[in-house]
Amino acid sequence: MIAYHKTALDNLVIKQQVMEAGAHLLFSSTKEKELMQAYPINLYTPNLFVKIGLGVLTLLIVLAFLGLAALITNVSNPGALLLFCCGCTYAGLEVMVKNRHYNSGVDNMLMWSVLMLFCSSAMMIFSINQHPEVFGSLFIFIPALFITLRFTDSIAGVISVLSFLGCLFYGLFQVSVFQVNYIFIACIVASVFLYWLLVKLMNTQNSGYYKKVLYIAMITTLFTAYFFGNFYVVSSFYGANPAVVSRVATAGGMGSFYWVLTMLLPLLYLITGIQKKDIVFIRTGMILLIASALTFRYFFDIISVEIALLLGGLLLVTAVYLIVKYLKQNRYGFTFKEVTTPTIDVPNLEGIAVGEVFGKSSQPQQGTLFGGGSFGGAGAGSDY
Amino acid sequence: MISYTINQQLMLQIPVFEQLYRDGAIDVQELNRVKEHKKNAPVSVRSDLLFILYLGIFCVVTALGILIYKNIESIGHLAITGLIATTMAGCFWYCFNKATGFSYQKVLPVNIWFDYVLLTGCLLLLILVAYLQFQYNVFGNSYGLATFLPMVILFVAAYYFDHLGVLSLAITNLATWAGIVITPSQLLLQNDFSSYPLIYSGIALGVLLLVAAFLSVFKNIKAHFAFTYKNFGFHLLIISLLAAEMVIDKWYLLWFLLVAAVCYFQFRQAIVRRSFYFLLMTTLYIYVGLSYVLFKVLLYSSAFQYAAFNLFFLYIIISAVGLVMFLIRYNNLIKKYDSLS
Repeated sequence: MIAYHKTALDNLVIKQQVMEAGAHLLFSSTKEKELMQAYPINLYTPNLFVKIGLGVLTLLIVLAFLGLAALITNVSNPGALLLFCCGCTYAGLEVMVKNRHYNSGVDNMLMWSVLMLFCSSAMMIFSINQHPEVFGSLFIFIPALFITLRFTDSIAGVISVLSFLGCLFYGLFQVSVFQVNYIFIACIVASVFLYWLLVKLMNTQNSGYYKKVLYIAMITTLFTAYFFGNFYVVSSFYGANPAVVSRVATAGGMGSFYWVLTMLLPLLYLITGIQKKDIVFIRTGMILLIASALTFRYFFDIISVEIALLLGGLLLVTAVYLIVKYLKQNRYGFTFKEVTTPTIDVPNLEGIAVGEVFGKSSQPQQGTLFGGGSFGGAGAGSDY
Repeated sequence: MISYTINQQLMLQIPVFEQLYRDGAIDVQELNRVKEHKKNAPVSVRSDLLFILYLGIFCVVTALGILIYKNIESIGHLAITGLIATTMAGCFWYCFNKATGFSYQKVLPVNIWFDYVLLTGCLLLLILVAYLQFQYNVFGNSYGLATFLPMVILFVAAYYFDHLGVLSLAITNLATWAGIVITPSQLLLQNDFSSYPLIYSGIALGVLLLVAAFLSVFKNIKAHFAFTYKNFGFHLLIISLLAAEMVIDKWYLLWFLLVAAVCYFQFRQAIVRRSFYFLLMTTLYIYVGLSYVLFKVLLYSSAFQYAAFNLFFLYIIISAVGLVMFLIRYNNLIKKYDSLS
């Protein structure tokens, strides 16, 4: 099923692990080099910047090919045209993979193009006018799952999870036998089930090549479980106006249930992350805590934005100060010390970031300004 | 080195090392060292905490800005100016007290708060100057002076305290003084590149920044500042030259030759310094410049009018495939170690 040579993938995992061990000074640099030579990788994975460039150029080629095909065929049958382009793109993908491209930007962009072309061609060929969300999700899910399995692509894995849940959600929504509440609960249950399933799969012996895909898909299910239980998301499906609708009565009388989920799930992720020493869980929890705070602020307008920002900012700064002080010594498996050294020059990026966020200035307007009006053009300009 | 895997579970997979041990590739001590590390090594939350600190400071500064804006009538201009000036002075006082002094080499911050306090002080300086000019018209009609003065202070602060963020602020201020918006995301959006004076200013400033980058390394004065100068300077210079190629129609071939010359020079530099970033950027810029010339010569000539669109798509496909092959070739040539400089 997997398009790549298994030895190449095995060696890739070994290389990543050896580099990781080398970064933590567990192996000498001579040993690291020795291992790299003993397990050569004949896959082509360029540097990040080159990868971005190759991705952009590949997208350009796909779009130009689509344009050229449309011009030649006069777009008599758009569905068939898209399917033809999808087939050609997929053939291109297989050729590039045979040429050892692995996460090179070219193969990634071709995979995503195949997904988009397949979905749009299927929608046109089957002339789907009713329930487009359900069929759209389904037509994304099928090729995304195939691509995930064949090319072990993490983003295709995330798309598979999202399209599967989208298909389930809109499918249940269209059946209209169920109350909206139960649809959301069903999706939360589905997310939890997927999480459980992915953890099980990750722990099996055969998951080797898919470990990263499974892990990222697992994190995706954490997000989906939260969003299907978020009060704002649920109430927006009721068309709820926070000023009018009673808060508890919103979301089909199950408002309290969703509020509990909104507030507790991020904390649960955070605590799990701390317990498991899993930084990705901790980050997920932190991001979702911000989402919960924004949800709360949206419905309960008890303090103004500036006071909320001020209190929130002060809270964050104080919390960081206390944690930094606390983690001067390693505690409970966490440290504030830098345990790894970045390979790319991060301070340089810091400079760009500061320039980007704070360095915004406007180009001075030309012409003399008198009391809010521009001079010249005899008033013909619009800038009064 | 940065973590190659995304989390603890995927990091240092013991079965992989056990396999290496069975293959005889590593010895038992090395295997045990990995196991020990996996079991006991602490997880660093440094970057996460620093990001949260940054977010916290951003929230507080934004909140204060809104508070002042909303209550400007009741607080009074003098009180606000006084507050900003006092806080700014406090920040600079802290930095002068803690700083280890000027050095031509890179100076590490004395603690994690230092960089943030300095950045806050510099931002408050910019706010103070703008406030004084807007409210009290301190600099009169000498608008240049209102940007020149903080620019000088920012450059001095950047060099004395060794802060790349402040250097970026100083460079953007320098650009503002020259009438150009240089912030990466706004470079194309905010500038009116159809204006000849702006194009010439952009070219001059771009060259100036590239010279500063060169001198930083050549004279070994804060050599680590070179990337920041070069990054701003290169993009500004090339975008200005491309704008000249498209706007100053009469001399478009001459401007293209200049684009090609600068790109070739930077390309050689990228190869020597093994910089994938500049390799990509020079390639894309020269592609844009060359494509423009080709379209101008070929597609606008009457002989090709009929097949214009077909030719356009064909050109994109063939040239992009060529460019992909070119990038792959040069990536292989310099793939050993990447760098941004």
